[in-house]
Amino acid sequence: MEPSHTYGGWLDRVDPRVRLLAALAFSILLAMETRWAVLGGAAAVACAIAVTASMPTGAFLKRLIPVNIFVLGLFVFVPWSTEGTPLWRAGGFAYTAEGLELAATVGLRANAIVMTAGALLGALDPLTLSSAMRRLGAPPKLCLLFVLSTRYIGLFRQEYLRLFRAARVRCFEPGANWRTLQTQGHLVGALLLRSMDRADRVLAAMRCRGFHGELPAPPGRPWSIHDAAFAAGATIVFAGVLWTP
Amino acid sequence: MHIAEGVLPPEALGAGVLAAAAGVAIGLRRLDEDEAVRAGVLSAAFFTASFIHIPIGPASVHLVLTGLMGLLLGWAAFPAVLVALTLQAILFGMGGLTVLGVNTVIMAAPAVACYHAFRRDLAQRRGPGLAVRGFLAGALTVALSVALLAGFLLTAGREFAGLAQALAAAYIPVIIIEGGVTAAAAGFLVRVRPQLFAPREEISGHAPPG
Repeated sequence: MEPSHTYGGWLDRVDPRVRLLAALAFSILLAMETRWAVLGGAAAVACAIAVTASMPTGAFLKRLIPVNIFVLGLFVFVPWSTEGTPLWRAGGFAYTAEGLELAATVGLRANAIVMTAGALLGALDPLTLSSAMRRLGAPPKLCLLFVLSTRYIGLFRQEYLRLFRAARVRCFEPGANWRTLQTQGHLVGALLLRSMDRADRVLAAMRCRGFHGELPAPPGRPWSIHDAAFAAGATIVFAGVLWTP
Repeated sequence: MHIAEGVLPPEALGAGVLAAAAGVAIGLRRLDEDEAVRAGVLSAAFFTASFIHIPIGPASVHLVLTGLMGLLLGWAAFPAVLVALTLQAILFGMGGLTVLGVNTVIMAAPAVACYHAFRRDLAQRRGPGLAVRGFLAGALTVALSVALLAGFLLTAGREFAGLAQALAAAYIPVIIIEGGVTAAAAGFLVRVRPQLFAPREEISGHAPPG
């Protein structure tokens, strides 16, 4: 993984635990929301937080690509399966206004949730997030898996690319054929073997440093005025959305 | 192999969280301290596999390898998948927090089924018997995941039937590719280090240090 970096916005002053809880609460709230005004408002607020306080605009927009590929699928397929007023007809099927509205609602909701989570959590590096999860009561063994995965993903990617280059040098030309599947399978096998051997060495090294199945809990940071202000603001907005008819 | 945020009704999301929590709890309980480190490192390796693209014509699909994951990790596939999905959600905005439970079930439950169906006598097999089992382990695991994905999508309403069918059709090449890659990878691992697929109680005397 990349080393931890911050963008220096005001959100960095808020404890990751508070940000994680807020992201979770608002994601759940928005997942049950159908009002366009609320969904649109949430998206706008999330964008504002992201660009002013948490991450570069380009990085934020890039995070929205996966969800919007799915949303595109919604607009292509959902209106054909929805009953209602037809806008177009083709081969006995109708593209309906009701379906279009449903796709728009779901698409707006999906974007609002991803934007909210991205704005609050997107700039956190995985290790900070893992220690926040740990301090909020996530199982230590799960956090151990999380930390180890985070550590080794980048390394294994390099290792795989090295194996892949070695295969390319020996005239491996990937294509849609069994030879490709077999070669990639062998590369994956080699990668897994190396990773398991590495795991044994890592475990031995960790044991030498006093590891007994659990990493010590990371130190937290003290509760600050920024945390209190952010938590209070988030709670007021949350309650407002919940109780507005 | 994700359901996006914002689609499913709260009941389906809640059911996904409960099922995933149960699976993760079982998986974590079965991991002792050696296996926890190994599972963490392996889940990084499987995450890496999702960067591997196989070209089909002008497009390409990336590997999932949940079948192989099931064969090697068993119930620990649940926590490993949860970790990978959490990282994808945080780093890339794929999937998301409210669908973590559902997506974990979609990918990990078939992996555990694969473990129970194919792991037992894999280490004794060679030749075509091994290749066929490897292919089925990879292909059926992804096929089952696609079925679960389509099923969860239908809980959102009849309106999503067309999308579910289109997704299922789009995954047919992925199912075949997963079968082929898993057959090759599992065959390789069984030949090179059969003790990886030994019954659980024999695992602890494992591999020589690398």
